Amino acid sequence: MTRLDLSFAALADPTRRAIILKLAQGEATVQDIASPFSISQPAISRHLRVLEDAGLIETRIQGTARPRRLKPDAVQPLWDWLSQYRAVLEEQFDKLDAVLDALPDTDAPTQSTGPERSES
Amino acid sequence: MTLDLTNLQVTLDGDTNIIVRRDFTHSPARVWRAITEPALIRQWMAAHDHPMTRCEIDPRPGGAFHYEWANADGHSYFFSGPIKAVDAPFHMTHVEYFNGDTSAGSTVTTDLAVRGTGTRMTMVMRFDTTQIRAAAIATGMTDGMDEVYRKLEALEFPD
Repeated sequence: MTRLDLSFAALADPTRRAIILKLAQGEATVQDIASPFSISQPAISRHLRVLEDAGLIETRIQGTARPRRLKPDAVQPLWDWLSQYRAVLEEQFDKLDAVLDALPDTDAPTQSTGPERSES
Repeated sequence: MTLDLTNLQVTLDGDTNIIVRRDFTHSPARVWRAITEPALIRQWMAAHDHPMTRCEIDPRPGGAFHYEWANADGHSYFFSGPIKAVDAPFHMTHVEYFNGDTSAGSTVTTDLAVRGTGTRMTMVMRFDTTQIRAAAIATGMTDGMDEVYRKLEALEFPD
């Protein structure tokens, strides 16, 4: 399994997406991360492990504390994924082209400065 | 090599911005209509099994927008926020929140520039921090793609 597959799998779960969003505000302890969820701390720890294995977050060792944070390079696999987002956008813009082609010609681009409004 | 006249570009700009650029063969006035009139927006923003259940925009400073979709499970998601600046048919600035979460929005500027007989659209999405951008990529943008996630969830990953 590639790093990207791991990122996909990690982010396919809504709880893990929520954890990512939480860590976007800054590093946090397991207790902090678990507090808004109605699931047990061990379950949260399992989610954190999946996110860490996927390379999306890391653990900082600070005395006995183990705060988690987003990895700075976590963006890259996600950005790679965005090439798929780009494909979705392209499909949407292709539809926009079709909408434009079908618009009545009342404001046809006779001038590129904008619509002509003739008063009679 | 193919000649792509529409030339979609999606780029990460600096630490906090995402830039989307796309060319259209129609005038800014027509593109403006297609991105600000709900009857037209619905035609291109609805995904095939994600009908838009709400499509509202008041493209004036002080106005707002709300775009909502329902997926096959009946679960809905939406983008909404205030309209900050409008200079029809060339410019709009709005703030965009995903599912009403105002703690992590982006400021989106949309510019339509005359290019030959057509239009170049440039959208700049600016996030407050690089982490929020990363999270938006990870959550907001991809959350709208439930189809992709359904496929992902159907995949089997060995432990």
